[in-house]
Amino acid sequence: MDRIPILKMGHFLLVTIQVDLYDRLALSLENDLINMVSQVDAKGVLIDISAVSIVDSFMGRILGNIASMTKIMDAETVVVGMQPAVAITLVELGLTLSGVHTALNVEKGMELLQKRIGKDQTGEEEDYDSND
Amino acid sequence: MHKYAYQNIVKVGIANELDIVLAYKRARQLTQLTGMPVPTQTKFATAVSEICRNVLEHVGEGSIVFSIIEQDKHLYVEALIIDYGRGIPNIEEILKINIQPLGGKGWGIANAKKLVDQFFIESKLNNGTKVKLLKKIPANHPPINKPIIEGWNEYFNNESRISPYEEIKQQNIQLLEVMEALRIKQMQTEHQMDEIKSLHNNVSALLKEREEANGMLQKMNKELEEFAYTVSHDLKAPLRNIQGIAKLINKAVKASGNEQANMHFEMLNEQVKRMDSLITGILSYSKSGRQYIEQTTVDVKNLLLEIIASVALPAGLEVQILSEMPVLHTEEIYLRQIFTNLIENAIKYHDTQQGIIAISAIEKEKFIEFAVKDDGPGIPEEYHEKIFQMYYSLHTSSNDSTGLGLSIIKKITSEKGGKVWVESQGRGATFIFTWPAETA
Repeated sequence: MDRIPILKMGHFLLVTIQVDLYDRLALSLENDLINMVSQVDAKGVLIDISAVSIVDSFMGRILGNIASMTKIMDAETVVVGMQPAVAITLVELGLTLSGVHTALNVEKGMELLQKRIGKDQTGEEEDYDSND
Repeated sequence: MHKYAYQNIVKVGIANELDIVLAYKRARQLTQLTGMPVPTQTKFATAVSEICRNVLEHVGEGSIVFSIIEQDKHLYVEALIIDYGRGIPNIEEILKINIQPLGGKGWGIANAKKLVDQFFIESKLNNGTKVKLLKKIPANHPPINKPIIEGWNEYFNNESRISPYEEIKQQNIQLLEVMEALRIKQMQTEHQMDEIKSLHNNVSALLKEREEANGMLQKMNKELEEFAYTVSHDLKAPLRNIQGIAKLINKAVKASGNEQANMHFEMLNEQVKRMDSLITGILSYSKSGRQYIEQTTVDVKNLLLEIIASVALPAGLEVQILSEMPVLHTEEIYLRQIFTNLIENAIKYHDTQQGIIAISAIEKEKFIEFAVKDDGPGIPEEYHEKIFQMYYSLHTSSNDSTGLGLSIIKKITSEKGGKVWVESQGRGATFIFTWPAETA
């Protein structure tokens, strides 16, 4: 079965989804990510969905689950590169992706993660994005 | 009311989660081709994805057909999703839901409804569900007509070939079909092999039986011939003694002048002669083909003249040699025996005062056909085969007929690869035999 590669970069895990996500692939990504966070003691997860053209309620739920689970594992999740059309659809659906931080691109996503980890380490609880 | 402008532009069967991917890809492609903006494409494709996932999750199988319909002078892209599951009992309630349920599940239908311009759902208990999703095509759409739709059809058909999943699915189906065909072929082949094996076994058994029977027959034949040879050979000695003793007694009887006894002795002599010729016949029959006889140069004409001179030819009967006779390299004794037998027969059974026995020869490829023709009583057709059997004689009353002469001829000719037969209609009979034309 296909698998989406997860790259480790310092304390972060990087995932770039470049194929059409089907259900099992999404579920295995969810599973792999959580295991990886635990194994490498990751502090942040960055998911690049710039190549994903459809985020329906199932995919939205998967992203939400990943964010919630990594949060419990003491890590942050940032989703980057969302296509405008996808964002429009999600809003229309009322899927707010609660718990998922978002950034425009990978660079800004990394910045956000760095900041969040720094904040967590200094004990600050303020949120930077509007999705929280 | 709406009517189909272009029905069944592309169809996707839903049986696998990858089919959902294919379905929303088709939705995006079609909406893009009809000139919808990207967000609209995404919304429609997402709605398709939601409904198709429901079908797969709750029923397991279904299909989606894309068409273009016309309603109030506007064109719409239609996605018709059909399954044959148990149906949805509480559609009304589901459609009323407006708050995201916990965990986000069970939201598909309501989500899809939000994303399209028109939404129709029809569900019958135990009779499946039909969902129709309509998205309006913008008024400034690119031209849509029959040739263009045909172009799209072609595009989708060709595209499906390069889509890896479609390709794999197609190949898988083909592979399964080939495997099934192979399995059937193999079963047939195995069955045929079994049949061939059992036939082979049968044939082998039959061949073995035949070989055994052949061997047995050959052995029995040999034993029989040896037995005939021994018996006839051994019988000759006592017979000769009887002949000698009879001669002595005959002398004594003649001296005593008993006429009656004298006549009886002549009868005894006749019987002894007959017995002797019978034994000689059996002996020569069993000998023929058993012994190696040297081949010599035989001038058939000279041979015939010798035979004619040696047989007791009654006055009134004449033997004629009609044609040129060959000079052969062959066993003289065999030819002598055959001609002697045939000429003697012709003389023996002749029933008139005057008669002609004619001998001729015709060369036919590798054989020479010899014929001995008489103008005697002739042989009825029903006996033409029988007379060549051992001990069969038409003239049982005749004292000197052993019934062996013709069977000896038959045996000799078949040993030489030839044959013998008789031709006779009414009066007269012609005995014909073939002999290898090994010229000297």
